[in-house]
Amino acid sequence: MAFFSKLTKDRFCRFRRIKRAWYSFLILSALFILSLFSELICNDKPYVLSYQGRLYFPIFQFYPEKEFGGKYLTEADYVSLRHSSDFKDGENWMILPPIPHNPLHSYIDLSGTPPHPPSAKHLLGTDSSARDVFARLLYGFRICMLFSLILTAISTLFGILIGGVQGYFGGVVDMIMQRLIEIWSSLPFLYVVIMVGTIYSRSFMILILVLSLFQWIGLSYYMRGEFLKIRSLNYVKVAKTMGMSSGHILFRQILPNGLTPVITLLPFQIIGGIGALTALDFLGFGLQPPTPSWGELLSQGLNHLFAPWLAISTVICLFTTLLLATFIGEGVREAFDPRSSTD
Amino acid sequence: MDPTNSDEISRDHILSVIDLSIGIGRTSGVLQLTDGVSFDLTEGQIHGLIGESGCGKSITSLAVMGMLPEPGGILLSGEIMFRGNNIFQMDETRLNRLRGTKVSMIFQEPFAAMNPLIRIEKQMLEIFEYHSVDFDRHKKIRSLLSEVGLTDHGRILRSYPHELSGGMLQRIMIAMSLLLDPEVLIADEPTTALDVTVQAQIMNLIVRLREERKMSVLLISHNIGLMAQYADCISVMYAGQVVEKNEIEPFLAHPSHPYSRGLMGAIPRLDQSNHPIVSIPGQVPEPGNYPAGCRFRKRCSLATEQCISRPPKKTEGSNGSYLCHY
Amino acid sequence: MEESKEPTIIEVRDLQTWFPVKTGLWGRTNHYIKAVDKVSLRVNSREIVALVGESGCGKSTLGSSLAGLLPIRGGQLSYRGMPALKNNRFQRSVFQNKVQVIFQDPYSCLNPKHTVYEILSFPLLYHKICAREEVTDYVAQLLEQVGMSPDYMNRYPHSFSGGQRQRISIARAIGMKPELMICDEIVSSLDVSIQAQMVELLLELREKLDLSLLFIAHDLSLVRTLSDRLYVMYLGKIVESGKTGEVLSAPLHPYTRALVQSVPTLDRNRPPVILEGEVPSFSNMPQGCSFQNRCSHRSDACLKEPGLSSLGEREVRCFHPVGRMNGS
Repeated sequence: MAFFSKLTKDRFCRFRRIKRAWYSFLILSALFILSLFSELICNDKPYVLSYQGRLYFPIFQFYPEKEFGGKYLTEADYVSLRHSSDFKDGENWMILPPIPHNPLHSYIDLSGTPPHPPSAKHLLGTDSSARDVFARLLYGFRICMLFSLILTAISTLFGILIGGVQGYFGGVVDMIMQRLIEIWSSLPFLYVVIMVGTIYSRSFMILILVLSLFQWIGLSYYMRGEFLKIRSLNYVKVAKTMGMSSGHILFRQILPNGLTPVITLLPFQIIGGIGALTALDFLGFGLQPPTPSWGELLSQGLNHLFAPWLAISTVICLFTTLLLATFIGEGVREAFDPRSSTD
Repeated sequence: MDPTNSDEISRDHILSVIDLSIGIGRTSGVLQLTDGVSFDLTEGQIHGLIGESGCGKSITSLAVMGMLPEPGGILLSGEIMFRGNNIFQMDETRLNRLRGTKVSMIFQEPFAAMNPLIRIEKQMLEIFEYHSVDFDRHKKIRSLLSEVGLTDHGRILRSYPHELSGGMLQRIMIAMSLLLDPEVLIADEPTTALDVTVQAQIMNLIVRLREERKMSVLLISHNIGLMAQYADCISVMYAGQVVEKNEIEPFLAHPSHPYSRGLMGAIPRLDQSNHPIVSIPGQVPEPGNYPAGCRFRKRCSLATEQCISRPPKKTEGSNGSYLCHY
Repeated sequence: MEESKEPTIIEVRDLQTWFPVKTGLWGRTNHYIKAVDKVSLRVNSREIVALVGESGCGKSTLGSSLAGLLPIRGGQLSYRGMPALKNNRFQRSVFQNKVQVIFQDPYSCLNPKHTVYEILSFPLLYHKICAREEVTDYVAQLLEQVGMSPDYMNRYPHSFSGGQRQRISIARAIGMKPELMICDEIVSSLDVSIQAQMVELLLELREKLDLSLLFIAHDLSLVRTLSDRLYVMYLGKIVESGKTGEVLSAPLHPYTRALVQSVPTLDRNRPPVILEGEVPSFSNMPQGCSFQNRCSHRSDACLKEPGLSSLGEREVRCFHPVGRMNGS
């Protein structure tokens, strides 16, 4: 329909032609999709396990310890199982994911004190609680991106709605809303996050909720401007003279034309979301430990500077992600630049 | 006009555009915008260049100042001779001296040509920054403002562009273009953005200036009434070519090219009631999409086989020439 | 054209559209820009009425006011006798989509994100002008009526030229089966040869669809070929009106005469006559007749505002009209 007009296709083609942006987009998307399957890539549970002739799929199903000769009904500890006599020799086998580690498992029986330096078994070493760094980075990436994407989605929705209403109705409505927004944006959001986090638990959803209360403000300014501008264009006036309802005008006439700032800002909003979560986690006000998180790893890295692999690996990951997202953002901006159109 | 002995002729002509073809280089190749445009301007003459959008008249007018379209403009062939010197062979310094002192230009939208943040006086003085002069600048500015019919000098010089009307701004533009006493004035649609009463004032002013200064004027417009009243000769452009060229009175009496005739028939007349206007069917072809043979044939009622296979050659008539098989 | 006994489609009486000028610390309204000041006009069935004037005279403001886009301060507006203003509020429902507007700039009148089909079909479906199954056929029909191929339905506006876009706007308007179309300078930004095509189209539509037009323009020559009657506006007021041919060949008001004489004709023996002076700004209007500072006929009587004197179909607002109205 209208969203895939020739103009949009043109812009998409132009985006593709900007190699740096297009490859960044491919790489980042690939990494993100990969991270969605973290459990399949990086897990201490095997894909498939054969015990006494029967096949088990521990990643997908819960098996109690008793199943494999243990005493309790809690979940089997596949790590110790791996090293147990049952599996070391004999017909029982298990197929493990490429990175056979769980981000939450502390390998306290490793020699030396955590954090352990990189080795054959732990490619990036372990952190201060003897958890595999690579696993924590991977799962942390997923959480980071998901958090940011959901946050961006919610704040974009609010930004469009509120900015749109302001721009469309103008006048008193706009003035009142603008004053309210100004008051709201002067609230120190960090304190609010801390307070809410303390009162309620610091869960993923609560954090998203709180942050999204503030994140939409920036976009709403842009949308307000766009709607104000488009509202005075002739095709909107014509729609009015033809008696179309405000709803139709808002959603069908103005909105499809006002989405340009949304698209161009999107990559930067995602970057902002990643940054916000990482910063909160770094300060200790973000997600509850032991959730794997880059911010938390960074904070550990700072506290254990003699274990540089912690800080370095995290910084490299952060840097790469943000760089890729920035390239994408620049590419989008260039593709949408009306002046470079050669129609 | 005897076409032989062109050297002598071109010295009589203050400005000669000879076989000018300009194009734009694109990644897909060169797009030709004008094709073999030729016309001459003699001293003290008002030469009208008429055509609709896409005919190449603005590109031609800019080329006279030595400016090619940005980005990617290329001179494919031809020359523009100003008093016997080819403009395209001049270096930057000579060209800069040409612009403003010998050839000057005024544009369609006076508001767009002025900087909205700078007062008029300062904008007028800017002209002198690039051309050193030995007369009193302020006196000259004031005398020119009087010459264009503006009397309240102080107030006007202190004003910003948005405080003045379109008519006044256009007069100021004309004054600015005359500051260095050019010999040729290029007026690109000078009155299109103005009301008809103001148009009459401005055109009257241009004609008066022509008489007083013996200045030549290249008048570009799409308004044939303007040409009828003010031009001495006329060149009609269509799709990048000059399709007819003549002195104005014979042209008005007997336009030769079917496009010129179509244009005359399509224009509503104020002085004749019940004059049905007959439109020209179709649309102007885009550059790069010109039909083979004659570019006007798809809209021409006289088109035949010939018009498809052979591009028309220039037919010379008395006083004029046109590009048609008929 | 014979005296129109056709019913009046739209009648405007003493319409006022004023814009407040706020100054001072508290934004108090200092005075008003009287863009439309007690204007009365009438368009009958199957008539083409032109409204001419130079820039800033208020004609576009009047067009927009009649379309309900600007707040009206006073006066009466009626559609087929039914009042369309209630407490100065525009009642669009009275018109029932029988009055449509087309604007000047073809490039901003069509939503760039919609196909031609969507542009034409949205209002049709919204107002249930035709059933859902018939929409595609109806849209094709509309395009043919304005001289465009139905194959263009799935294209976007940016692939069309200015003239074609205006045709699409016209198609959109006639899709609503209107009785009156208000055309606000719709051909002014088009090439001359395209203007001629549009004029032919409008005349054709008037015949085929029993349409009336209120044609707002500044080009007198165009208006002469197209319209039956003419209103001339200056600084927010109607200064002259009557049958087009009569007004333009024998103007009564000095301003109308100046306008007619300013137009460059093809007759080199009749050069345009210069009207000196400038249009006064709305905030600086002279006391009395608004044209007096440029009028060669002015006298002391002109310090009082002249009323509209009429004889038959001619009206003029002047104490010293330049001709004599044809008495009988």
